[in-house]
Amino acid sequence: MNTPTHAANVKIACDAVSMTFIQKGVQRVPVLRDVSMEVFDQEFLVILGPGQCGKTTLLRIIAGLETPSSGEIRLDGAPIDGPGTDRGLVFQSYMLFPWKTVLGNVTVGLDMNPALTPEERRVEAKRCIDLVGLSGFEKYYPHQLSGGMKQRVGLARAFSMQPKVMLMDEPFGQLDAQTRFFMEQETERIWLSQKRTTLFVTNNIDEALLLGDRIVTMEGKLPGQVKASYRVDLPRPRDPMDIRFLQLRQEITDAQELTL
Amino acid sequence: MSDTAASVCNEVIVRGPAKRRITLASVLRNEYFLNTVSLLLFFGLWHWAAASRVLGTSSALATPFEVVVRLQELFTSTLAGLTMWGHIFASLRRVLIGFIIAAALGVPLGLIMALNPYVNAVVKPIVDIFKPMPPLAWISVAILWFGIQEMPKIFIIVIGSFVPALLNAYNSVLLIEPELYDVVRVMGGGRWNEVKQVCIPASLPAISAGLQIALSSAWGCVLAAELVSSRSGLGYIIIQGMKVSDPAMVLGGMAVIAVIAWLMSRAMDALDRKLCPWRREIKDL
Repeated sequence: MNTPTHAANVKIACDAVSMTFIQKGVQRVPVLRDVSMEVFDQEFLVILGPGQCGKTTLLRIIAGLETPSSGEIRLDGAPIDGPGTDRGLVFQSYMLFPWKTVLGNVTVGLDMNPALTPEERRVEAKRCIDLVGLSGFEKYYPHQLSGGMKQRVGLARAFSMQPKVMLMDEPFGQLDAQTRFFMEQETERIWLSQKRTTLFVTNNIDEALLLGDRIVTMEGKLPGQVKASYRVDLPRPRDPMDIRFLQLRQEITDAQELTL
Repeated sequence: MSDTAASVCNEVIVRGPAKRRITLASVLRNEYFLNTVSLLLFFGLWHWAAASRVLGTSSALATPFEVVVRLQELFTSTLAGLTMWGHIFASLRRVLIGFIIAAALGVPLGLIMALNPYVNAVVKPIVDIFKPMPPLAWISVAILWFGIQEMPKIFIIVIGSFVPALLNAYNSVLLIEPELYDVVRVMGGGRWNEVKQVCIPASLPAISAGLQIALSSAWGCVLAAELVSSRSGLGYIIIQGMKVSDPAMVLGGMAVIAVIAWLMSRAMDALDRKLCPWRREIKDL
């Protein structure tokens, strides 16, 4: 297991985070137990685990949408207390506003910033739309877009706030295999161009190996716990048929009880 | 029309239907052809039934032509001091005043009930008491309280259209995907932004559908109120036609109501299209 080399360049620190949901008022469901990990500055960290292992809850806690039962999360050393524009979230099921066009969806966050003029908002939204390759689709409504294009809007919307870290919750889980592979390459291209710290949650081991600088695996059952951490020292863009890729894939699969 | 509207990389949007050849079978199956046949049959049967006195006396049913002639008279001559235009205006005025009051009260109250559990806990039981009560049950108390002028009629309309306006606004908010609020929250928006950016736009289609129901309820209420006590309005024309055994007048009044209510419903549709453009386009594609 890799240990942090520099405390100074830790971007996100999870410190013994536990979470227990209370169902129907009485039943206690432990979802996360003592999760401690770090995401380093400019790192692309992938959290890999099967469904129902608490990884989405962890991401929602980091986003500030849920409050942990115990433990603390720090961003740049400051404890997280609620959501904020320093963290951008990309949702698994896109969560676009169907009543807004592509441009409108990307402008949602910018519109809530009174410091910006309408012109600045438009320019910034345009920049993000260009970044995700959706130029020319500004006036389309979400239902007119394919799944991949919808998630491009989700990406652009998160980028528009210029967050310090990107949180991505199984963003390509609903896409077909071809579009998914293509979007993974796009994600890598964008990440390489910005080197924005990214925390990416997935249940797909190939996606994790294609994208991650480092992979943190989680136990396959509740409560979610960190199992292991793997450094992926392969040159980008990665080749899923490369022998070292396959060896690391085998190593991770062997360590998990469940097949990934 | 071009086939391919636009594409990004490997993702393509295709638009535009292919042209079809016209054959006898395709004409017989054509929607508009069948619509025409259906209407012709309806008016033919009506005419035959009226002309051959199927219902007995001559004062039971008028032919379509007699209705048209009678309508022409009603539009040019006066009844109780008003031409048909005057009566239309009288009913329309009542419907619009009542409907607007009901919408202005019902929609915001429904939204607030859905957003605030305390308001909901206070208001919901009262709404539940009055909800199943048919609005026409209020006619008698309305006349007792407000006499026989405009007030009782508008009161009935408000009662009848308030409930659908409120309930649809209320339910629409409860059906919103909770994660949509998270979108606003992660981008630093507070409670007010959640309401403004998600709640109101997301519930607009259902509010609009509720107002459509409220409007048709308002027309039902105005007629009932005018049938009971009135010297003007379309309900008065119908009841007057019945009193003087003039079926052409009764049917003429009914036809005018149908046309006006249809026109208003279309106007609401147009407004809906304007307010919720994203929803209509789902149909178009």
